[in-house]
Amino acid sequence: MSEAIAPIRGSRAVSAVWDADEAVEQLYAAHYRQLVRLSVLLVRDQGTAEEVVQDSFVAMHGRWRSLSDPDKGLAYLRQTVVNRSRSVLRRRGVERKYLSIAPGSDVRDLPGADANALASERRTKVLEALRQLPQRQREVLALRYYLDLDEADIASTLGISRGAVKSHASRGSATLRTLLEERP
Amino acid sequence: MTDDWLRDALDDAVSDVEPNDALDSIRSRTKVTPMSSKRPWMYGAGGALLATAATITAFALFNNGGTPQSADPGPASTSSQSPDQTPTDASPGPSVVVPAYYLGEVTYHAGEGGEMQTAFRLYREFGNADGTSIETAAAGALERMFGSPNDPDYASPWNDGIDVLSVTHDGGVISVDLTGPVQQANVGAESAELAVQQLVYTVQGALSVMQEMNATDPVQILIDGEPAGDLWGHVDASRPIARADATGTQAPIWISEPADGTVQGNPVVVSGIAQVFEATVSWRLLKDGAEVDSGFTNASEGAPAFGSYTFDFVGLVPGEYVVEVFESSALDGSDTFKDTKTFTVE
Repeated sequence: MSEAIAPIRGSRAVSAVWDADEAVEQLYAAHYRQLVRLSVLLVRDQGTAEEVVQDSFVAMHGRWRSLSDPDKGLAYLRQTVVNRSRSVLRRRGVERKYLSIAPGSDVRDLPGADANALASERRTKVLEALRQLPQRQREVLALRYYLDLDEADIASTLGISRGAVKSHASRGSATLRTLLEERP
Repeated sequence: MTDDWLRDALDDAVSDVEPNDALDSIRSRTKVTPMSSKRPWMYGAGGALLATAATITAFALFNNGGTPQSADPGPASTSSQSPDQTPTDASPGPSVVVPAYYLGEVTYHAGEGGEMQTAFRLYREFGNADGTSIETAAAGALERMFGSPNDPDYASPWNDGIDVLSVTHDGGVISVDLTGPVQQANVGAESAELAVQQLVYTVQGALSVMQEMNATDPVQILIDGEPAGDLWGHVDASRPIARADATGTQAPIWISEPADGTVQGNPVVVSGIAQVFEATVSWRLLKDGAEVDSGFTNASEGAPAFGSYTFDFVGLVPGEYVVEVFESSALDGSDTFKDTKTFTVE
């Protein structure tokens, strides 16, 4: 997942000299899927998540001159994905739409809901429980437990204090546990 | 209390999310200068100037601001342009690079010790379309799809005489209204469903390029305003058709660039998508029919994911080349799922 493409010809692998296009290519290869999955945890709808992440890559491309470092690029992508996921929910009313559609009407769930039905039900349950959390708690949980970021990184990604990260994390995980246990 | 359950639950919750490849779409939105040293403009059949997946008209970026200047973005006309300039002449619309899908044959081993067999899968090419609206972009992509691909290894079973009446996206359904010889397709039972997915993928791809939200909504095919119903005696198109999983629909290996039949600069960048075991992508370079080089590279992810791969050739002497990208069979080392592109170095 984290391994970038190793070119076998040419000399484009040195991160210090990435231009904006190369930064997009390399970070895309290494992180695109994970960022989409992060966004799915936040917005639920895969199509929306893909668009959020694509927009974030385009935004990063535009700012590459001031980032010009793979780690900063990735941090910027994470932050942008979280921010855009938040605003897309607000702006588009995806939240309401999401809550009103039946599980399984997601495009990727449509074909062949047979052998994987159980796993898919389990996943849906977790995603729906996440959706019931306050936005901040959901974001902190996704960054903490899906991306494995530490408190300092989460704090700077979300622009909140480390204390706030801690309290969102503990409240969020307690609520999530309760939601998952009480559901049939 | 341990938090491992939470880590596992979140990991698991999105473990089945396999995003569609979007690198080309991202690139098409970030390329403002058509004359890139790595990805020069290319001449397609008939000498028409084509954008590859990696290049784009500057005009796609003008959507928020002024009016586009021209729909024919030759290199000279756009390379010096910046978004601050006020374009003139509003017609025709801005040009965007859209995908069109075609059917191509793949060869692979069936099952464990299986015989080599062949099947059809989807391949993708790119071309320009009018980016005024999702409708014009999708109609442009569909018109390409009904016609002939650049790569002679691919084909479209749809009739070239079909016209697009409208494309709309409303209430979670993308509707494509067609007219003309829709029922006259060159398909058998085996490829009929794939031909429908060819249309679904093409329309969704165009909407995605246009940054339409929920671009992968199901597609309702209409003929002269009415649901298509039974298509070719093999597919029920009376209701919206969902995008099929990429596995079993897309060819496992695509070469996205170079486009077939193009003239390349130096270096020649080869890139694409591969769904291959342990991410190992094999390649071979032929010149005048003889192998001049071969090797392998790693895709960003191994099967079942579709990973992206890229490699390049530096300093090729002038001549006509064929690059082959394939998965080397674990069974007998034969080439499977091979895609090939012909290009010229001048």
